[in-house]
Amino acid sequence: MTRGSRVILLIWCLGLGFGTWYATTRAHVETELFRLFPEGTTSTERLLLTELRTGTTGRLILMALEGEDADRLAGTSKQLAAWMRGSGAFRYVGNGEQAWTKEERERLFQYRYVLSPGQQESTFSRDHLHDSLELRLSDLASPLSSMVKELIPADPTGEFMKILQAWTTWTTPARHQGVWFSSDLRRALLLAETQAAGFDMEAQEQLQGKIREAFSRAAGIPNGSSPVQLVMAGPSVIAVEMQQTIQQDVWRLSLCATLLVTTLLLVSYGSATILVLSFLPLMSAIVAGIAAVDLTFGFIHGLTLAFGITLLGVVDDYPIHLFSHLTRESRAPAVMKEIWPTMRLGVVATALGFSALLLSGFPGLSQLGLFAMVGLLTAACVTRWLLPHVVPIGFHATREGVQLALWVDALTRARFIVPLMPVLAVGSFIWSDTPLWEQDIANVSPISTERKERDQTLRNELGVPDVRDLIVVKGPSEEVVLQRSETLALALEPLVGKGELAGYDLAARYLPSRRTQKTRQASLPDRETLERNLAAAMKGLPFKPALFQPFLDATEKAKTQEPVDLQAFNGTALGLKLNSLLFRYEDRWVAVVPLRGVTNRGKFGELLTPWRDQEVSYLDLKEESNRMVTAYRNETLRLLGWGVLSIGLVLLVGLRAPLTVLRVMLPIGSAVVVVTASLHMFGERFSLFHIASFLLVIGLGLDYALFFNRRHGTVAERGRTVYGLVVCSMTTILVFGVLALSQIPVLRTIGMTTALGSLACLVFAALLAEPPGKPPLIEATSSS
Amino acid sequence: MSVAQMSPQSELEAGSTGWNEEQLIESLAKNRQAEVRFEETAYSNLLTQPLKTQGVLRFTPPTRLEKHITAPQDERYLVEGDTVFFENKTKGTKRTLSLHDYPTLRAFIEAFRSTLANDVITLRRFYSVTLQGEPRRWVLVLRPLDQAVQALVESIRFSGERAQIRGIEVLAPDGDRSVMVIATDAP
Repeated sequence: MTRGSRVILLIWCLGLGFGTWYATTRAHVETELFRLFPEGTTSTERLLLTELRTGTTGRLILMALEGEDADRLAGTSKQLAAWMRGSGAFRYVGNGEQAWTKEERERLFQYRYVLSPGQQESTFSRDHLHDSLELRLSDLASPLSSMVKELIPADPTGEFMKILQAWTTWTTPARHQGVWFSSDLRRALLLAETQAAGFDMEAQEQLQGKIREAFSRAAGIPNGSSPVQLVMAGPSVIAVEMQQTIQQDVWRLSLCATLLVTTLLLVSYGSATILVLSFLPLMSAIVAGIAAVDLTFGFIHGLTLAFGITLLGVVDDYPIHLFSHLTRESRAPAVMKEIWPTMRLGVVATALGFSALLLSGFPGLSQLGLFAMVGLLTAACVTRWLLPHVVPIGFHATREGVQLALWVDALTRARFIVPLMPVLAVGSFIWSDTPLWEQDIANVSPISTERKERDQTLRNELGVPDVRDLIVVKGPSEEVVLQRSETLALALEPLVGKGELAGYDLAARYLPSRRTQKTRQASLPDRETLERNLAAAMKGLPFKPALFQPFLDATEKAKTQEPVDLQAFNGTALGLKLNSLLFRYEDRWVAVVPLRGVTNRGKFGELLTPWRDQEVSYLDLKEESNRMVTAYRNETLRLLGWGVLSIGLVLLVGLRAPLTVLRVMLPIGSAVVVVTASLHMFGERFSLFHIASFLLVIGLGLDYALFFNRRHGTVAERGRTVYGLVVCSMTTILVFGVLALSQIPVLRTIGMTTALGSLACLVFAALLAEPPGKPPLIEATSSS
Repeated sequence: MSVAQMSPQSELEAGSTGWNEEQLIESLAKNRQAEVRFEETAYSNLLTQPLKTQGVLRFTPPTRLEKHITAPQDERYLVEGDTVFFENKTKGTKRTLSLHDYPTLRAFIEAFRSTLANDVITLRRFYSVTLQGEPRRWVLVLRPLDQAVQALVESIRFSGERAQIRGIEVLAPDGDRSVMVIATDAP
């Protein structure tokens, strides 16, 4: 080892040490999907993203207890809910107990004349009062009289009951022993809203673990086998389970792939040292990539990491090229120098191709671009300047691959296949009925159908539909937003009547605008008028003469009462609900109106178009997120185009021969087209994940094609090159082939696309390789 | 006939003859009719005169109990298991609620349902039960054990002759009461 090489080794050790320390302790890994998206261009878009990030929808946990008789399930439900309420980790815990607290009832009763939706001037007319009093008489004659009679003297018109009835828009589940149950009484149901945001995977995972513990205590599982089972659903539960499944799958598959690749490399080179060395560039690349992205963006997204490492798969080829070219006589630094120009061209072109992603407006893609570029360059540097100095002296590949090279040369006679295949492939596109693009993001998601169904069943039983449609009402103040919501409700009511809308939830239903409250106050008669009307209404009815004194007092007081505002409901369950329906956002007030059962979305959207002037907009969340993902995909495609163009330019500069550029680019292009067509034939629809995989395929293809077209002095030299390429390609196919066996659609997609792509690139590049006996095409060997 | 009209002389403590509330309730269950007509008078201190209603009571063991008021308005209260369904045909209203949301209502209903179903155990979970009189003419007094129920119901008194219930009186702590008279003949 020379002095210079020792310095290099020291620098690398320090760099890797620092990088590893930084990546493991300082780097902040984010898992929230929407961090990948841009902030949003319109205020509504930003609001939507915020809602998806932090909104109530993401915080819901749906639970079911099953497997025992209803009585025991009810007991377990009560204990579990008690623990959850006491834990402080939930904003709301519902299991059917505690509909309204005494304090809440008192508050509602106090404000009944401004809150009651039925209250108007005619309520206090003689005839209306008479009708109301008759109703109260029948209440008194009913078996429920003992429970309702205390309300009668202060509220003979029944405003309080009208409020409660108007507010129960939600069809609550069946009950047994005071606890929610499915209608067949086989499952006790619970619903909770967590304090932690839905995307906060760590917090959610912990919390779900605690719920399970509390459940086993409540069900008595530790001391004896209890058949009670806990089923959980909801976005955060699904996300946590998904993460666990992915981790398990990735762990299992990586183990399998590592074993295979290790075996392959051991068989190919017969040296454990070489095996260890071949992982150095990839390791260094990952560490450098994480550090670079985190330093630039302040965080690295979990998906960037996963995809980034995938993209870096290409760097595993670099050490393999080096090792394959070592001979008994040669010294590693000299060999490295010899193959470096070819490798350098590949590295620069690929890095430039990936760098196009950097320009993207999407943080996710920019991160990926940076990660891949820094990783590639690091791996290349490590291979160029470190590896040759640490390779054991005297190591050489035992197999020379001469026979392999002859086969490859024979293959070139069939080169016509390369242009022919894409033509056939394009033909299959034209005849295919399968849509090219995956339009529904839900189909790309790794959530299994079984989980989706479980979620849906629980949602139906609990009566909390998955909110897909909502209306957003905005305004400069709480009051304006409430007034606009009230006007909107007038337009929505007929739709509910016609069945075009099953229902909606509205802040103004619980908290009328000041204007409405004032109108209701103004409609209250003065004491003398009311006394007169009441006296007339009581005629012929057996009520005691001074019975309704509290009623007269209450209406008089209500006339001058301060209007109710958001503050009045602080600290109650209703307050929590209101806060999710009406809140301040970016210095403006926003009311969110979740809709249920929109039958015709297109028509509904049109209906609400004229409301735009009033800052009322309709959103289809599914459509909206699909639109964002489509935008993401198109952006990636566009950048991919620029990337390919820049790769072409780099090659042109590096090779100085357009024909050779064609020889290098054509196999890659054909491979992409053929792989796309084959996947398409098997019914695959394309998504972002395919495009990301093709980026890797392009990187791999460049490497193969450049090396195939490299100038080789002797047959033996060519044999070594071909041998190295076959090993490279086989490692890739093994790793990604294993990934293709995954149960998770995304991993399967990446695995299948890359494995097929790698194979196609190798075969096509070999077919188009420069035939022996002609002057070499790449003459850069001695120029470095 | 109402309990109030019963003479104090007949109120002999049961037990000396070996006759007790278990036996009475069992005999009531054996002799039970699927359907009886009733007339009810409610005295409320909100009112200057009592309210009269009439209708039919139906019981299908073990848990289905129905009170169908036919006059002056058509109203139906149906308890089945844990669910109460009520419907007013005159007003056109329908409502369902769960007895577990209204524990006081549950206690109230069990007074009738457990008695008719010969379920003394459930009855004793909600009430202290005492029997007065003799087999020929008796009064079964139920006093609620739960405080929340005590605030609404002071006592429920079943009165009857041999294995026949003749009247049910519900007394509230504020003095309100309702008196139900059960017709002797089948409807």
